[in-house]
Amino acid sequence: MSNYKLQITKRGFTLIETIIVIALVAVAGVILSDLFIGQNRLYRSETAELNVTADARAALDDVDNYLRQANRAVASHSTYSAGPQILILQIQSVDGSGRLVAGTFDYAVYYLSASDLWRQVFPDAASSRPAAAKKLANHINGLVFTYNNPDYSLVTEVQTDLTIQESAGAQTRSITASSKAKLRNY
Amino acid sequence: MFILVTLLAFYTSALNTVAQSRKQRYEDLAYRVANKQMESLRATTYVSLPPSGAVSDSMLNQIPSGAGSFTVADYAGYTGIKEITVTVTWTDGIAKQLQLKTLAGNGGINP
Repeated sequence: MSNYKLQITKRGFTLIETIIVIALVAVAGVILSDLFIGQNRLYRSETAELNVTADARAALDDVDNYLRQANRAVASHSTYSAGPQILILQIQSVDGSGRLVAGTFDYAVYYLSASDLWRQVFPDAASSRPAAAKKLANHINGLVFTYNNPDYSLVTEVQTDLTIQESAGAQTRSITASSKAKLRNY
Repeated sequence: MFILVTLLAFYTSALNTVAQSRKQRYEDLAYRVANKQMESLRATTYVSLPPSGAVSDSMLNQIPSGAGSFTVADYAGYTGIKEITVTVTWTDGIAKQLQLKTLAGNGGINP
């Protein structure tokens, strides 16, 4: 009767196998890094795209909304003087119930501060309209208010041209939009 | 493999987001173009309203194949009232159209 011995040989990886594995991991790492970087770049550019579109819409809608409520455009109010980049509107005051108050007026001023578009409301003492400054849009690259009459008291229609530009890394997203609205009762 | 599948899903989702944001931009610009044209026509006196025309606006250059037109037609069943229709068309993979309508009355429309 013979005796057989089971011999188990423990082998490690060969140098070639180790190099191949390291190379595969390195290639996978490069691909994953590239995908992550690409994803991040896409995210930033799309965020900028959504920002400029939303800001342009919000700003133009706000200007149009106040224009349609306005009795007239005025040449100056407080420290502001109207012009291509400053719009000053006279709006009839409202009481706590939202009813118009005869003979009293609030003023809304649209102006640029650095590259931000702001709307500041100056209410009459009898008005319930809040005295608020609101930032309407960031990254303004161009703003022009065009009046249909050089005499502000005779203006009945205002066109607003707006360009918003936001950079996202190496890319830049911009939108140029314009809107036109007539003053109340015209 | 799991990571690659996850990243592929992220990319698909991101591409959908890109398409949606483009769609939103084009619709927004198309609305601005139509609204501006409508304001111009509303500022025109009733007798001077042209029967039709093309819309000329630099914003159309930002929309692929963007074009606009308007028509002014008698409003059926009423005299002294015209219907103004402004149409903006563009291509975003498929043909898209935005339309604004209003009525203009001789001397205004009041009940």
